[in-house]
Amino acid sequence: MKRSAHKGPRDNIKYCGNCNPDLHPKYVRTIVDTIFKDTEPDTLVLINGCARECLTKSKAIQSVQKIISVNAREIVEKDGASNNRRNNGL
Amino acid sequence: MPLKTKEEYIQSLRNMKKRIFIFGEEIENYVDHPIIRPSINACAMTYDLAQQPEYEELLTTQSSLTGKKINRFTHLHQSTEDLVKKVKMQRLLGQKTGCCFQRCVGFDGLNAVDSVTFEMDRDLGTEYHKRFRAYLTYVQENDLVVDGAMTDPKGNRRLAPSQQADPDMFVRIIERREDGIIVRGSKVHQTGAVNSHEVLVMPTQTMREEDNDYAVCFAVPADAQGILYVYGRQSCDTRKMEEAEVDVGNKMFGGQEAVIIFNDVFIPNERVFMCGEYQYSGALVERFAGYHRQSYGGCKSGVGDVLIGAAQAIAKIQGLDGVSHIKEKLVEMIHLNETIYSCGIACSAEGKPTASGTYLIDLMLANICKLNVTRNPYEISRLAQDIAGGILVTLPSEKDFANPEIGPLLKKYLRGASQYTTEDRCRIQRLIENLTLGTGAVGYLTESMHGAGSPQAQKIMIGRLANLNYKEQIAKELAGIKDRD
Repeated sequence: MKRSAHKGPRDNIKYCGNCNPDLHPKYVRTIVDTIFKDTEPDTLVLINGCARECLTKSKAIQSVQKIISVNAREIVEKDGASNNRRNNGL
Repeated sequence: MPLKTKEEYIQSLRNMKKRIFIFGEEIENYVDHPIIRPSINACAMTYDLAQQPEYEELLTTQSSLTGKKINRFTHLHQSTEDLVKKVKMQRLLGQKTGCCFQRCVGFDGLNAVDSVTFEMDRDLGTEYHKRFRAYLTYVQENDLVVDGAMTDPKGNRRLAPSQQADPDMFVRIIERREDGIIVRGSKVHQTGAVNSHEVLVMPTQTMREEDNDYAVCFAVPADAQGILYVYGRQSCDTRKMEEAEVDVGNKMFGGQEAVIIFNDVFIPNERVFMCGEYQYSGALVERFAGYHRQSYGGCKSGVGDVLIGAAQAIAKIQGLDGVSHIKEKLVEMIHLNETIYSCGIACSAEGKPTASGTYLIDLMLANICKLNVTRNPYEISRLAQDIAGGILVTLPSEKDFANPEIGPLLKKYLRGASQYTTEDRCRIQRLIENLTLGTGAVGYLTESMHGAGSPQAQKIMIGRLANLNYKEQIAKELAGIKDRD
């Protein structure tokens, strides 16, 4: 039985779904996987793809104790990525 | 875990032996047929994105029936958040495929049947809801694609089903047995039927007592004995058989519609969810139509994103980016596109639970959504064609560009801005052509017009739901008119 070719996620990193992403989600993921690689497993990291921040607003998240909620554009800019990398879809 | 991969989905279609006709011939291998395969790829995207962490929040959820992680297309909406996520998911899929990805009709049918069967059992003491939930658990556990089959051929539109010269113009029960029913008829405009595992049949209109044999709802495996499929033609469809890379416009993905014929098909009782209870047919039609009208706010805005992006790209390639009238047209395209998305979000946010617990969208706003969808894609397409220019419909074929004598000349004379290749220009022009005139236009334009009901159907609902008496009253109050009634 063939399995999905996609690399498995880390359980404590959640993406919003990216229906309106400011930046290409695949590119954002490469940065997220680096920045948050040492985050404690009991901390939920929410990656919002745009200013609407749907994931942070989600009712399902409200009961979670330890959350880091970020906007994709902020973490990419803080990572110091160049304009070329930012616009280069993967 | 129930989630299938896209490879498993495609293999599951190979394992189903359906009787499919295209261009007058029955075909053996439909999965690899060049006209059909792009539509399978589009449906497969609903599986593929569910496996990707960047998108799984929209494509997956926890089942309200089993607690397991399932594909959202098999989910019963449990909240307004679910309804909103549905629209966002559909927008995402429209962006990724640039076409109709086909899995929504069944999704909407499942949700409508759930609430109506609950109310039937509550009022009539039947067992339809229990059967339906067992069936839906099976769909979820196996991550199946369900074709939502509503539209009958209808024959003479002025006559009720039982008055038609040919009684088979609407799907009907021709025999009731102890272990099930036998049905006969046809459903048309069946989006994704050939790519489905199951067919969920619903009545196409409110039935009266004399039409009770037509008040039937059931689920049947897509390869059941007696079912035939006839593939619908689309504008520019045979380009997919030319082994062309560029001329198709959107080579990987496409939509699909078929005629389904039910030749005396047996349905066992456990798959029958309405069998003559005509009083509930109207509610089923109304709710299915409501959910499906909501869907268009998502899927068509996603495809609209692709067309807007293509218009922006061709403007750059042709050296027109930054020109004020081009920018103005792009903004107008965005305005129209976000309008239909806004309507999809609005009817979702204003949803509420039915008696079964399954959430239903706001019917008025869902109909407003769809009525806007019957108009806005046409104007967005017009503006895209305006920006693209006349070369959109006069471009030589890909084979001409490959000819050793004329190819280099075409590449020289049809180049746009020097930092882009002529091939880039051709590719984007063909994509715009696909979406506004070709196979993609079937889904983006005509389906926007007639899918989930033609404009008049939405106007009837809007007129019915508008509460005009109250609006008249508030106007009279402000005008100082005392009520003499």
